Amino acid sequence: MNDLTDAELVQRFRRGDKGAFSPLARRWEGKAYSLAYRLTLDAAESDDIKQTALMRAFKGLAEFNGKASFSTWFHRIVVNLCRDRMRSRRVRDRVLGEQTGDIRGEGRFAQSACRAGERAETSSRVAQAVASLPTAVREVVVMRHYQDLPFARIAEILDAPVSTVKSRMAQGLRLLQEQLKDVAE
Amino acid sequence: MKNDNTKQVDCQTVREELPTLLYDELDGESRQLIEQHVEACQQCRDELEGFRRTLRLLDSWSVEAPETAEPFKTHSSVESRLPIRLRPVLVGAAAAVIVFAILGWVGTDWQYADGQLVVTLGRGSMSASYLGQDLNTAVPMLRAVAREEADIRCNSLLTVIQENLVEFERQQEERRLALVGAVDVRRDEDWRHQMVMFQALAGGLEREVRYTNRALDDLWTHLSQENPAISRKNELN
Ligand SMILES: [Zn+2]
Repeated sequence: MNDLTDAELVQRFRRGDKGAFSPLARRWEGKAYSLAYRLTLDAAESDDIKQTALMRAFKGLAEFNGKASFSTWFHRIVVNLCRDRMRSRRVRDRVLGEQTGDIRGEGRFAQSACRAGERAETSSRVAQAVASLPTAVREVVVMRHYQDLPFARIAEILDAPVSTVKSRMAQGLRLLQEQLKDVAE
Repeated sequence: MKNDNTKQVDCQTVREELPTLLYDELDGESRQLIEQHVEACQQCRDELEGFRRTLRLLDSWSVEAPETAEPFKTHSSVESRLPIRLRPVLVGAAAAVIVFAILGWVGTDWQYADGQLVVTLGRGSMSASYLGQDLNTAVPMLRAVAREEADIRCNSLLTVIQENLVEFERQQEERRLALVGAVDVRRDEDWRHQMVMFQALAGGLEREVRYTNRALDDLWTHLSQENPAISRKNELN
C-alpha cells in the first residue's frame, strides 16, 4: 500500500477501504508538523495541529472531490488551522493578564524562537526573522523554501493568483535580508 | 548603461521574478531573458546576490518532526494552554451563562466493539467513530476530536471575554473620571466578583479536559490489553 500514489490511496478510501488512510497519514504527518511549527513556533501546538489536520482529512476525505490534489487540500487544512490557532493565541494573550503589553503575540514568538535556537545563534535569528514576517508573506516563504512547494501549488493552496504569491516571496526575501543583514553566514 | 537586451524587461519585472529564478521554476525563454538582464544590470545583480545569501541563511533553520506520534500525553496541550491567570473582565449575566454552559459539558464515554470505536463527550454533544485496523492512527485522531471540541469551547469563551474586556475597560474609565479622588469601593467589589467567576470557568474547563484525557487513557489501556498488536511505544508514560 505504501507504493501507491496519494490519488490511488484516496480512491481506495472513497471506495470504502478505510485502512488506506494510514499510509496517507504517515506520508503527510511529518510535513504537516514542520509546516505548523514554522508558522506557529510552538511544538505542542504543532503536534495538535497535525493531529487535528489528520482528523479533519479523515472526516472530510469522503467528500473530497479530487479536483485539487490531496497534498494541496491537506496543506490548506494545515494552513487554515495555523491561522485559527494564531488568531486565538492573540485573543488569549489579550486576556492573560501577564501579557497585556503583547497583544499581537510577536513577543512571545520571538521568545520561543530564542529558546528553540539557543544552540545555534543563526538558526534562532532566522526563526525570529521568519516569525516577524506578515502572516501572508510568512506562509509563502515557509511553503516555498521549507516545504519545497512550487509557486503554482502554493497559489492553489492559498487560493491566490500566482503573481501575488511570487511578489509576496520577493517581499519576504527583502524583509528577511534587512532583518538578517548583520548575521554571519 | 543598459544594452538592448536589458530593455526587453524592466527592473521591476525582473525583481519580481528573481524568486522563480532562484527556485529554478523559470522556463527556457523567460529564464534567458531574466538572466541576460541580471548579467547587464548591476542593481538587479545585487538584489539577486542578496536573495541568494538570504536563502543560504534560511537553510540553517531546521525543524525535526517527532519521529512517532505521541498520542497520549499526561497533560494535553489544551490543558497547558488554559488561561490560568485571567483578568477579571466579564460583566454580569454573560459570565453566569457561560459558567453554566461550560460546567454543563460533563462526562466522557467510550465504547469499542467489533472494530468500531466511539468516543462521546458530554450529553451527546460530540461523537466520533473510526472503523479500521490501524488503532495507532485512530486513537490519536479521536483525541484530536476531543481536543478540538475543547478548543472550540475555550475559544468561544475567550471571544466573549474579549468583547467584554473592551466594554469593561470603558466602564472603568468612566468611573475613574467620575470619581477622581474618591475611594472606589464599588469597582473593587466588581473586580472580586469577576475573579470568582473566572476561577469557576477555568476550573470547569480544566475538569473537562481531565475527564477527556482520563477516558481516552482508559480506552487505550483497554485496547492494548485486548489487542497486543497495538504498539506499546505509544502507551501513556
Ligand atoms: Zn535591473
